[in-house]
Amino acid sequence: MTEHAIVAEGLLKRYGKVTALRDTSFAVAKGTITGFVGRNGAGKTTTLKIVSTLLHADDGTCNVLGYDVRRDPYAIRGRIGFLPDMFELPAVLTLREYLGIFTELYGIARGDRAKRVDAALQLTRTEELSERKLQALSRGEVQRVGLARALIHNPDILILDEPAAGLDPHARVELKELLRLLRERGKTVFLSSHVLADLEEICDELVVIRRGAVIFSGDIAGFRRQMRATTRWRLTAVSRPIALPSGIRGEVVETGPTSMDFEGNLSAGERARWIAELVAKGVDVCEVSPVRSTLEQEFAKAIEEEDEVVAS
Amino acid sequence: MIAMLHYAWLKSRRDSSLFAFIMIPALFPLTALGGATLAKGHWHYPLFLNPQYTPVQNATLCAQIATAISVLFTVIPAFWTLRPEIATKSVTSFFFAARPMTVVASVIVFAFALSLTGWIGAITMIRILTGTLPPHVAFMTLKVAVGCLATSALGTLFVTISSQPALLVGGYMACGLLIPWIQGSKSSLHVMGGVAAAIVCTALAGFILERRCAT
Repeated sequence: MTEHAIVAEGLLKRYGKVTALRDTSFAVAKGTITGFVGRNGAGKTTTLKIVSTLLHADDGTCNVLGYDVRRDPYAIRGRIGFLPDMFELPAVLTLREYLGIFTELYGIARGDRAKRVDAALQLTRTEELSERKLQALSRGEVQRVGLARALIHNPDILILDEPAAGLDPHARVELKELLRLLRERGKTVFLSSHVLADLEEICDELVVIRRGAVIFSGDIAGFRRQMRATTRWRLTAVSRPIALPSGIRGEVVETGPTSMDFEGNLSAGERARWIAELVAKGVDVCEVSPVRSTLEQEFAKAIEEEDEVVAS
Repeated sequence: MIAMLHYAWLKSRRDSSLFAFIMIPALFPLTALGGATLAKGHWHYPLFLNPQYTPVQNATLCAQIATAISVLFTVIPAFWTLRPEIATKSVTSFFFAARPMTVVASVIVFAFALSLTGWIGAITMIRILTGTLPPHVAFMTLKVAVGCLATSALGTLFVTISSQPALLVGGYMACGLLIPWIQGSKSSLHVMGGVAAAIVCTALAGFILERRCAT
């Protein structure tokens, strides 16, 4: 049975007349990286704040590591590392001093403090910044400092709100490596991001939120299955135009001078028949292959479908 | 709390505000007594505020003014020390390691300690410049300590309500009411009232800070 690090059920949150979350339910399995996806204003930050005990939901329950966020917030806070979407650092301190303060705050034994700071610096690849004043850091470096701070007490769960924001491509690759490493060490990572390509690469599971309601919670393959009942196939020939044989159910979605995109559930036999027919007509077939859509396309499609449902 | 105090100490030492917070009240007697003495046209030791007064009377008058300045000035470090963190809500990063009440109490203790140090500096300066100490200096120190504690809690409460610097004016106005009450207090009951006010302000500040950072 899967053990869950976070279980949210029926969360409701209102800011005045605006409903930020409505009946939001999801679960995050222990030792996984779970992506939290949604448009701006969908309710991601509100949910992350509730999970990290900084905000109370108006209704519903949320358990983190078995503790109720409302009843035992202080039991949870010491066991999570939270990186908010926006934060400021004290400009006049050096990174080592800043992290040192947090080792004190978390009650880490005096003898272990320097080691913890070094470990966090090493994990986030900020060793070369350690003696630099925090005011001299770039946006991406600040983000890495935030991560180092979130990791300093070796938390069981990391809750990251847009951790890739402001990171250059190289730093993004490093972040992904770090998150994978943390997963290998048994940590649970729950992160929101707009960079869906990154999520696709590293996430085991996905929670998709739209207008305050979760529209999907599960693994990425499941999300693809839910979003797509059919597969898109692309057939490419050398020179001649391509025709679709009779008796195949599906839809031609795009045609080019020497290619055709077809959406439908083509069996291996049907694909073979199609190729044979084209060859018989003198068409030199190069390739028939499934077109893999990106998570970004799937997400856009999911949002589009939801919009259509709302509109109708 | 020690970690939060360390943070406040490190931060204010780096931006030199620590020096200002201690030295402004501590140097007041030098400027006041030195200025008044020089205004009479000649340098005379012991220095005085009023040449008609005895050294003890001058020391007492100067200590009373130093008390008012120290108590009033406590609002500034209390308001200023965590102002940027509260304004940007970065203070929430501390909430994962310490309770909001601990954060608030740390700021209050920090500002209180700075002001009391400043006042002790001022009394030392008065002793050097007038050659004597005011009478009942121990009870006066107790009253200053309670006054600084109350204004420190008040300054912290104000910054949790709003981090706009204009709110310092409100803090000063409130201290304006507190100072005559502290100065005029003759019994320990009055002094306990100041402590109670500090406790109420601390509790309110902790509550407001947590609520404010949750939005």
